[in-house]
Amino acid sequence: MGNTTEQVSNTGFGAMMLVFLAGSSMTIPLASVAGHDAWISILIGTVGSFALAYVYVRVCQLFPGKSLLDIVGVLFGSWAKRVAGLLYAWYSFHLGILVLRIFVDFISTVALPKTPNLVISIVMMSVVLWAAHAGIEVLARCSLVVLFFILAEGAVSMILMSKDFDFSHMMPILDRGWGPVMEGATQIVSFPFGETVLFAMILPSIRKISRANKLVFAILLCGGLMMLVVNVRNSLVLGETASKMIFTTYTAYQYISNADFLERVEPLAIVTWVMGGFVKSCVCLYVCAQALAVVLPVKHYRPYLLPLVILTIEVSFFIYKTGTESVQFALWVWPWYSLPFQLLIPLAVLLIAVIFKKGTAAPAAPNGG
Amino acid sequence: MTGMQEANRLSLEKELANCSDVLFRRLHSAGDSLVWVVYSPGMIDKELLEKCLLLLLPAGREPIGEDEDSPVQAAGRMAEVRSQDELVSGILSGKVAVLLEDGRQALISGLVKLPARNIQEPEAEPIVRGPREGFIEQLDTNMSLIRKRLPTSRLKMETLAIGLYTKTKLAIVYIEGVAAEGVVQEVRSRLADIDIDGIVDSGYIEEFIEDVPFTPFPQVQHTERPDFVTAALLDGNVAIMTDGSPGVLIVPMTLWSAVQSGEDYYDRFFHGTFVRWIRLLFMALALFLPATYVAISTYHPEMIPTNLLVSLAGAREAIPFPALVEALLMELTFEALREAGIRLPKQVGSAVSIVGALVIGQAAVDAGIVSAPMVIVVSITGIASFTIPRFNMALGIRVLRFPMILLGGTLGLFGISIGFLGLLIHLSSLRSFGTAYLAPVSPLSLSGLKDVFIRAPHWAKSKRPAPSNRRNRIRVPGGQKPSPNRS
Amino acid sequence: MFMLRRCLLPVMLGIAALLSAGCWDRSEINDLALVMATGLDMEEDGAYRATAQFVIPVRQIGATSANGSNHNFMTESATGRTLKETTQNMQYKLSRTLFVSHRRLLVIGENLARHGIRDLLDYFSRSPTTRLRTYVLVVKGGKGEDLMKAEYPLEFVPSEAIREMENLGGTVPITLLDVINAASAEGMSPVMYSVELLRPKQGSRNGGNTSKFRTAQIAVFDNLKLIGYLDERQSQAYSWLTGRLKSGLLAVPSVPGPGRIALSLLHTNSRIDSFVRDGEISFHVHLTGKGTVEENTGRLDLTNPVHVNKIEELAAESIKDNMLDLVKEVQEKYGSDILGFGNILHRQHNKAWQACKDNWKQLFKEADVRVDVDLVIEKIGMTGPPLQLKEKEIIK
Repeated sequence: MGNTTEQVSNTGFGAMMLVFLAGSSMTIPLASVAGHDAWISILIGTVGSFALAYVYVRVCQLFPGKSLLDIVGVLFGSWAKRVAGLLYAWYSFHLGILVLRIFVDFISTVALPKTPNLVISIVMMSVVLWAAHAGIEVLARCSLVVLFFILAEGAVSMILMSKDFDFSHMMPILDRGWGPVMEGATQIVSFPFGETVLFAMILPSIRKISRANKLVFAILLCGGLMMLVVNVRNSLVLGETASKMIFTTYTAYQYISNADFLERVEPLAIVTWVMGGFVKSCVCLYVCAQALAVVLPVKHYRPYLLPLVILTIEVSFFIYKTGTESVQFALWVWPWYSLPFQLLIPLAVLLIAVIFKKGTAAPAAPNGG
Repeated sequence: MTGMQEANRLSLEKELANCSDVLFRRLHSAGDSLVWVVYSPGMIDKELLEKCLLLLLPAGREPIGEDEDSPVQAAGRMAEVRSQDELVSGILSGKVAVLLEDGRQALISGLVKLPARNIQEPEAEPIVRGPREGFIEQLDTNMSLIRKRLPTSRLKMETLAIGLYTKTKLAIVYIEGVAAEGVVQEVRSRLADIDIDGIVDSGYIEEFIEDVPFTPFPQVQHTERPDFVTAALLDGNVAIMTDGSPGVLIVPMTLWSAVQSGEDYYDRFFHGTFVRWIRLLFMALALFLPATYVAISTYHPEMIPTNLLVSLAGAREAIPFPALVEALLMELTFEALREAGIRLPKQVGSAVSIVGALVIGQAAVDAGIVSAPMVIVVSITGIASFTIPRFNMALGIRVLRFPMILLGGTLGLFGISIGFLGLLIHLSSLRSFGTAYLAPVSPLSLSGLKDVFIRAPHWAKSKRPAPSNRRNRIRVPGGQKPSPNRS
Repeated sequence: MFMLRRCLLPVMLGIAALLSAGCWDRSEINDLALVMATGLDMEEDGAYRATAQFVIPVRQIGATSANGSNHNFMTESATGRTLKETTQNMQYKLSRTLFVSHRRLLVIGENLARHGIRDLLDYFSRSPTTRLRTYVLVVKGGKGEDLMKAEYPLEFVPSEAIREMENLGGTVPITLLDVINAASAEGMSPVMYSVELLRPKQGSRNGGNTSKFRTAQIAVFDNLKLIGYLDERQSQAYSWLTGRLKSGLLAVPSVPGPGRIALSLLHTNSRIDSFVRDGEISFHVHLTGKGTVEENTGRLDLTNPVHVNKIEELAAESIKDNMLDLVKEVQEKYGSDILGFGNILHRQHNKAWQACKDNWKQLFKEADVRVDVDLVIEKIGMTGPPLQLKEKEIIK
C-alpha cells in the first residue's frame, strides 16, 4: 500500500493535477513572447510535456507504491535518497514561494490594494495548511469540486465573451516567425507542465497505478487544451494587447458587457483564481513536507507543515523585490533552473532502472493491466 | 407460607416506597387464599385486569402453569419470576405482579397498555403528496409501521437496551443483504459502547454515535416518517429506533441528504429535479448571500450595476453603521424572531409576525437604523434557510453564515472564497459511518449522481448508492422506460 | 481533538486582530464619489485639466421634500502636470474617495486631442480600475469640461445620455481597447467618434436646460494627434468599411421621376482583399448590405422589381462614390491609414508587409483602391407606391 496509509482515487488525482495546471494559466501571460501565436506555443508545449511526463510516470510504474524518492533510495542508496529529498524539498518550496508571491500580488493589485500583503499571505496559507494537514485524499476531493467551479466559470466566460470575439486578431499567423513561438513553447513545457513532476511524489498513492500512464497523459492533454482555450479566448477579445497585459484573463473579464447590465463580473475571476492557487500551493506544501520527511526521517510529515508555512510566508516577501522580478524569474530563469529537477533526475533514475533491469513490475501490459 | 408472601410483599413495598403510582391490592381468591396484586394503574389495561383477576380467583385452579386451559394463561400470560429486581422492573414497565400465598411471585405481561398518542402526520415534516403516517413514541408501534411496509424476513430488527435509569430500548433496523455489513457492524459496536444514565430522545444517541462531534454538520439523519425510513432502508442504510422518541435515526448520511425530502420521489421527476435545484440554490444563498452582499457593497462596488449602486448609495446615506455591523445586527434579530416564533402559542403568533414585520422591517428602515436592501437580503436568507428540508442541516448552515459574514466583511470576496475553501476542506474530511460526506460528488460516482442534482425517474435508478452491499447493487433492471405501444 | 484545542486560541486571536485592526480596504458605498465620466483638456500652459462628473445619490430616507434643483450630478475639476497629479489634485477637492470603476465614458477636448493622446493611453491602460470598455470621444470644437457640465434631464446623469446616444447612433462605439489596439498595430491609426456641444440660441428662453449636445462625425488621428474630421457621408462609409455600421441611412434619387427614396441599411458587411503585383499594392473592397425602404417621395411603385433593381443600382453607385471619396480624402488630405489597410496587408501578405512597412505612409497614399457594392433591398415597407398619389401619378 505504499508509505502513506492514504489512497487517492484516480479521478481525485486527475482533478488535482488538472487544477494544478489550470491554476497557473491565470497568473502570468503564457508564452507572451509569441504574441497572438501563443496558442501554437501551447500546442507544441503540450506535446513536449508528454515526453517529460513519460519519464517520471514510467519510473513510478516500474516501482509501484514507491515515490520518486524511494526509488532513488532503492537504486542509489539511502544517502542519495536524502540528497534527492533535500533537492526536491527545496524545489517544491521554491515553487510554493513563487506561487504565493504571484498570487498575493494579483489579489493585492486587483482586489484588496490596501490590505497588507502579510495578511493576505497568512489567510491564504492557513487554509493551505489546513488542507495539507487533512491529507492528500481530502485535497483530492476538494480538487474535484474546485475543478467543477473552474470548468463552469470557463464555460460561462466563453459565452459572455463570445460576442466580442474578433477572429482577425489571430490572423497573421506566425508573422513573427517560429523563433518566438519555440521560445514560448519551452517556457510552457517547464511552467506549468514540467512542475507536474511534483506529482511523482503523490503518484504512488493512487489506487490503480497501472492506469497512471493514461491518466497522466489525459490530464496533460486536458490541461493543455484548457490553457489553449483560455489563451485563444483572451486573444480573440483583446487582440495584441493580450500578450502585453500582466493579468490577461482578468483584463479580458473586465471587457465583458452584455445586455448593458452584465458587466463588471471580474471579481468572479478572483474567486476561481483563489481556488486554483489554493490547490497548487497545497500540492507544493505537501510534497515539500513529504520530501523533508525523507531527509530528516520522521514517522509522519505533519509536523513539518507549520514551519514550512511560516517559512514560505516569510521568504516570499524578500526573495523577489518587486512583482516584475517574480514574473521575469518565472518566465526566463525558471525553465533552466528546473531542468535538473524536472528532467535530469527522473531521466537518470529511469535510465539506471531500465539498464540494470531493476524494478518489480513488468512493463505495463498494452491494456494497462 | 403466608410468611413468605408477607415477606415478599414487605420487601416489595420497601423498594417501592414513595412510588405512589404503584398500587398494592389485596384480594381473596375464591379458595380463600390471599393474593396480592401489584401494578401501576396508569400503565395497564384496567378492564382487562378486572377480567383477569376474576379468572384468577376461582378455587382450585393452579394460576401459574403451562396448563393450556388455564384461564389466566389465556388472558394474561402469567409467568413465574424469582428475583425481586425482575419483579420490580416488570411492575414499572406495565406488567402486573401477583404475589401468591405460597410465596411464589409471578408477572402477568399481557395487560400492558402504555399511554400513547394516535398516529398522525409529523408536524415538522409536512409534505404535499405521500403517506401521512408518522412515528409515535412506542417502539413496538414504530417497528410495526416499518414491518408492515417491508413484510420480508430479510428485514432485521435487533433490540438492545441502553441507559442506567431509563433502560431505553433501541432497535437497529436494516435489510440483510442490502445494507453493507460493515455499516451494520459499526452501528452495533458504537451503540454497545454507550454508557449513560438515561436516554430521553434519539438525539442523545445521535451525539454518541456520530463520527465528528465538533462540526455544524449532522452526520446522522433524523426523520419521523416511516415512508422515508423505508426508502432509506431500501437504499442500503441502517435505521435506529428509540423507544420514547418518534425520531428515527438513519445512517450513513451525506451532505446531499439535506436537499432530499420524501415527496421528491412521489411526484414526477420533473418536479423533483426542479425542486432539488431550487433547494441547492437556496442552500447556497442561505449560507453566502449576506456575506456576499456585505463583501460586494464594501469591497467591490464595481460589481454592482451603476443604477443599482446609485440607489444603494442613496439608501445607505443615513445609516450610521457600516454594512458589516448592520448585517450582523439584522441576522441576529432574525434568529431571535425565529426562535420566538417556535415557542409561541397560536393566538399570539399573528401578533408577533405583524410586530416583526412592522417594527423590524418598516420602522427600522424609516428611522434610518438599517437600510432597505439589507432587510431584503436578510429576508431572502431567512426564506432560503426554510427551504432546506432537513432541519438539522438547516441549523448547521444558519450557524455558519455568521463566520461567513465576518470573513466577507473583512476581506471581501477573497475572504468568502477562503471561507468556501475552508468549508470544502472540512466537508471533504467528514465521514459518516465510512461514507465520505460529499459522496457521490467527490469521490465521484456517476451512478450515484442520479439522485443528487437530478431526481432520476424510478425506472432509471438501476443501482443502489454506495453504502449498500456491493453484491446486491442492481435494483431496477433496465428496459422499463415507459413508451407508447409497449406491450 | 487535541489539534482543535491547540489552534483555537491562535485562531481566535487572529480573528480578533483581523476585525479590530483590519478591513483596510473597507469602503462604504456612501463614502465613494462615483465618477460617471471624465473630460480631459489641455490648458494653454500645457497642463492637463480633468473634469469629472459625479452622480449624487438621492437620499431616500429622511427629507424627501423636493429641494427645488433637479441637479442629480455634480462636476469637479482639477489641473496637473501629469494625469496622476491631476487625479490627486481632484481628490483633494472631494469629500469622498474617487471611484472610477463605474466610469464608462472618456471625453477628450479638442485641444488635448490635437496636442496628442499618447500619455493618456498609458495612464488608463495601466490602472486596474479603468475598464478597457470605456467609450472614448472627442469634443468637436469644444472643451471636455463644458461637455461634463452640460445638462440632460432625461437620463439620470448626462454622460449616460452621451453613452446611449453612441449606442443608438447606428454604429458600434469605439472603446479604449479599440484605440489602443489601433494605436499599437503597425499600419493603422485610431479614430474616435466625436460629440458636439449645441449652444442655445441667443435670446431664447430655455429655462433650466442650458446647453445640449449631439453626436458628430469621426475624428481622424495621425500619430496619436487629432488632425481633422470626416463629414457625414464619409463617416458612414468609414463605419461600413470597418464593419461597424449597425444601421445607416441612404437617400437616392427616385429615377425616373422626381423625389428621393430613403433607405435604411442593415446587416452591412465588408471584406477587403489586398493584392501585391510587381511591387504595386492594391486593395479591393467588397461591400454588402441589406436595405429597407423607409421613405418614398417619388412616384415609383416599388412592387415592381424593375424599379427596385434600379434603386439598388443607384444606391450601390452612391455608396461606391462615398467610399471612394472617403479613401481619397484619407489618402490625400490626411495621409493617415485609419482604414486599416496596412493591417490587412499585414494579415494577408505578410512578406510583402514586412518589406514595405517602414514606408507604409507613403505607399498608403499611392495604393490603388477599388470598390464594389452589393446591396439588396429586402423590404419596401407596407406599401408599394406612396398612398397619397392619385392613380395616374404612379409610375408602375
